[in-house]
Parts: sequence; C-alpha cells; structure tokens
Amino acid sequence: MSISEPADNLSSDTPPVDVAAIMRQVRRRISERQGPKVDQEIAQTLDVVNQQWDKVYEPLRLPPSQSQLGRAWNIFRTRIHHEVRGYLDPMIYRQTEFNSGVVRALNNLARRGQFAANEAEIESLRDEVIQLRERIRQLETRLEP
Amino acid sequence: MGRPKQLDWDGPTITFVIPWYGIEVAGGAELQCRRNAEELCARGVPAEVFTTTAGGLMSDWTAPAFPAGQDIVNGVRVHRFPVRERNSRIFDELNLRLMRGERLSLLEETVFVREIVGSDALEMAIAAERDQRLFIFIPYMFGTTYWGARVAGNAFMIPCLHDEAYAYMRLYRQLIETAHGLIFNSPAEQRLARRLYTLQPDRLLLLGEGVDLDIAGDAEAFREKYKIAGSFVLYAGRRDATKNTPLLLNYFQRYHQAGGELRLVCIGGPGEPLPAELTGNGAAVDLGFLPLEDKYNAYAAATVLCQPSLNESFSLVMMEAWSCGTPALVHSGCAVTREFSELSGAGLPFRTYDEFAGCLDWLQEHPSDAQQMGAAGVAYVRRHFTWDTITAHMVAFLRGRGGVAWH
Repeated sequence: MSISEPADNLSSDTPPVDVAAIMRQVRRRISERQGPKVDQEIAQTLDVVNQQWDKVYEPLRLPPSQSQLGRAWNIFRTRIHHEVRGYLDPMIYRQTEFNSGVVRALNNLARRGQFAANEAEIESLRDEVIQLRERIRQLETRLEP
Repeated sequence: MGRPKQLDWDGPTITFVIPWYGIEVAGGAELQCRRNAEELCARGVPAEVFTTTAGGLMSDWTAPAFPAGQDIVNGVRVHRFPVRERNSRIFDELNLRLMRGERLSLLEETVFVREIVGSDALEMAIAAERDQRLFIFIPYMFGTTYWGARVAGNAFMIPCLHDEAYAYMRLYRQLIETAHGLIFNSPAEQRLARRLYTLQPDRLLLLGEGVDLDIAGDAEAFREKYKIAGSFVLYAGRRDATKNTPLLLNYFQRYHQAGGELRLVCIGGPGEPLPAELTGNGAAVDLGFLPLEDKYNAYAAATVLCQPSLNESFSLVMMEAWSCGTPALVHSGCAVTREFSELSGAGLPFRTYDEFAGCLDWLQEHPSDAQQMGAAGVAYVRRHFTWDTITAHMVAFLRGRGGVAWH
C-alpha cells in the first residue's frame, strides 16, 4: 500500500493464517470430546423419564389380617383412601397428561437432534455467514458511486 | 530511532478538540488524540490541542484538574478552558436511562448535551479562530465536540463510535451526518456508522491508529525481572465489567480447575482484584502498571494476549501485542477485534468457555502455527499502523477535504 492510497478496508492481500480453518479444528475437537459424553447423558436421562412419566400413583396395599380389629382397620383405611383419591385423581390425571406431553416432546427433540448439525457446526456456519455478510458489505461499498 | 519522515503541510494549524488532555489522563481516545498531535508535530505539521481544565472521564468535570491557559505537553501546545457550570443530577438521571436502553425525547437529548462536559470559553475560542485552524473533534459524545463542531464550520471528527445508546441519539446523528470529514479506527466502526447514519463516502477515511513500533519486546528480560517462568496468557488493561474481565477470570478459573497449564499474567489496571483461588497457588498474578518497555517485554514473553472486551473501536493493546509477534485471543462478540483477527490472521475468536480453552490448547499444541500467527500480526501492524503511514494518510485526507482557502 502506498502512502498516497489509503486502504479502503485495512485488509491484507493474502492473510497467511486462515483463522476460520483453525477455529474449525478447535470446534471439531470440542465436539469430539463432548459429543459422546453428552449423547450418553441425554440417552440415560431419557430412558429414566420414559419409564417413570406415569408412575405418579402408588396403589393402596393392605396387609391381610385375621383379627376382627385388623379387618375393621383395613376397611376404614380403604374408605379413607377412596375419599382422598376422589380429590387427588383429577390432579394426578392432569399431572400424567402433562408428563406424557413433556416426554413426547423430549423424545421428538432427541430424534431431531440426531439428524441436526451439532453445536460446533452451527458455530462454524455462523462464522461463515458473518464473513459472507461482511464481504457483501465491502462489495456494496466498492459498487457505490 | 531516526528522525520521523517530514510531511508537507501548508494549511492551518491542526487543532484537536477533546474534553480532557494530559500524559496522566487515561482512556483510548485520549491516548489516540495525544499521540496523533505529538506525531504530527514531530513531522513538522503544526498541531495543537483545545481542551478543558477537567482531569478525565472519572473525575469531577467542573473541578479543575489543570489550570486554565496554555501549556506545552510533550512538545504540543495545549490550550485549556474552564468547564461551564452543569447540572450533574439531571445529566446522571438521563445517562442512567440511556444505560437502561431507554430512548430520550428530543428535548431530553438537548438537556443531555447541554449538561454533559462542555466549555463556553472553548466554544468562543473556536468561533474566534475558525478561519485560522482546522479542527478535529474526538470523541463524538461530549459537549466539547457537539457544541464545538457547530461553531467550527468545517469540522473533522474521530468519533470513536461504539454500538451504544448515545450513537442512536438524534442530535448525535445530526452531528455526525453533518461532519466535514470522519476518520474511523476500524472497518467495523465505519460499517456501524454507515448503518446508523446517512454518510457520503468521500467524507470518510478508514485510518486506524498509530502503534509505537520502536520498542522490540525482550521476553527473557521480562521473565528475569518479574520471575515469571513457563507459558502464560497475558491480559493488559483495566479490569472491570466494561472490559469483560469477569468473564475472562471465570473462564480462566474453569480452565485452571480442568488442569490447564497456562498461567494468567495481568498488567495495567486498576481494577477488580484477582480471585484468591488463582493467586494463592500462583496460577494468576497481577503485576500492576509496568514501565512502557516492560509492557512490550511482557507482550513478547506471552503465549497469547487475551482481549475479552466487547466494546473496542481499535484495541491498541492487541496491536501492540501483534507488533511483538504475539497472537491474540479475542471475544467473537466484538466485531472490531474479531474482524482485525480475521483480516490479519493473528487472532482467534472465542464465544464460549469450550472455545476459550480449546484455543489455548491449540496454541500450546501448535507452537509453530502460533508463531506464524504472531508473524502475521507483526506484518499487519507494520503495513497499516506505523506512525509514518497514519500521519501521512491523515494529512492527505485533511488536505483533500480542506477546500480552496488553504489547499
């Protein structure tokens, strides 16, 4: 660059180091290091919630009793249990519906995640978009009268 | 060091207008203004400074830190004028609303620019000498620039523009759009200005800032004097939220806990103290302010300079590190440092902790590539930001936009 001709974009003719390429290497390594661990954790958690999402109610289990008093006690407990369930069941039903919706959504997200680009790839693409956008701006500047 | 290349200038005295000025006055725009004036004088171009008696951004603006009148600072004639009375309470309220992201009404904007630092005497001096001087105002958002540029006529400006609340104020838009010439420090800053305002391309100069290249960093001298062994990440500058250093310290703590081998060396300041968990075991050290030569030696000794700031219009410390052959690690949320890194090939951008740690690992594992990045930084700074280049481009631009009166 001669002193009488200021650079219009402070660029280098040929940058000797490709920063974007280095960052792709860095992100690939992050992805390799984290990918299997994260996938495994997500799979284990999903497995648990798929088994547990509707286990919100434990049925009443009464020990068999031979005595009159014991049988009367069991009848009393069963009646109380039914009374309480009359109030609890609508809430349990709504909670189960909610759990089923959340688990379904998580399963769908996990399925999509398997096909979607990973975070490092998204970051690389974001870099590329920024660079291309800036290139367009520079070209627009040059085209302006 | 030889005598600087003399420049041909038969125009009026170039006069920088800035709210505060002095060797001890901190700030990026303040340093840029002072060094530009000094380097122009050193090349035979008459350059002076109009400023106020205030001592700096963080001082009480109405309490004079310097006496009014003329002074010579490093060979540059400085004219200081008293600050006019101001209502700091109203200004602080409006400023706080801007910081919260609120927009001010036009009337409130007028109050804001009236109550920010300014000087009636300085404006009168500009009006009286507008035909004998060529005024360059720096930075854009102070009363010295807003009111001074109105009376100066053909005002040049080094806006030091950031993507911040002030940049969206209608009065500043009008100020910048009507400037006779605008000098920008980076491609990203110029793009921001063109996005926000309607600007004529022939009024714009993308210049950058001058970097002192006379000092060759001596890594061994630094290690010996400060007893620093092994590889380290260098941070140079103030440590506070505006410089995004809490993020750097958080990431470095995680990096250290994960077994990272690099140490963190901080120079400059002042700022928040380093966490005891890092200083206790020697993983981080704060050396405070260093003499200029030692600062360059620190650049040369570092494996990488980390610049986490999101709000830079140039980043002189990054350029200084590059001039010593040290690559940089920058936050990819800062368009300015990120773009300079891509253009030069001398910096890596990080957005997340994983990228921060990944970049440090990569630099350690690829020493020859890191060296090549450092060499790219040296070449880039020498190509664009020597004082000979900066002053010559500035003078050519001012001459070209000067008009027939003195050209």
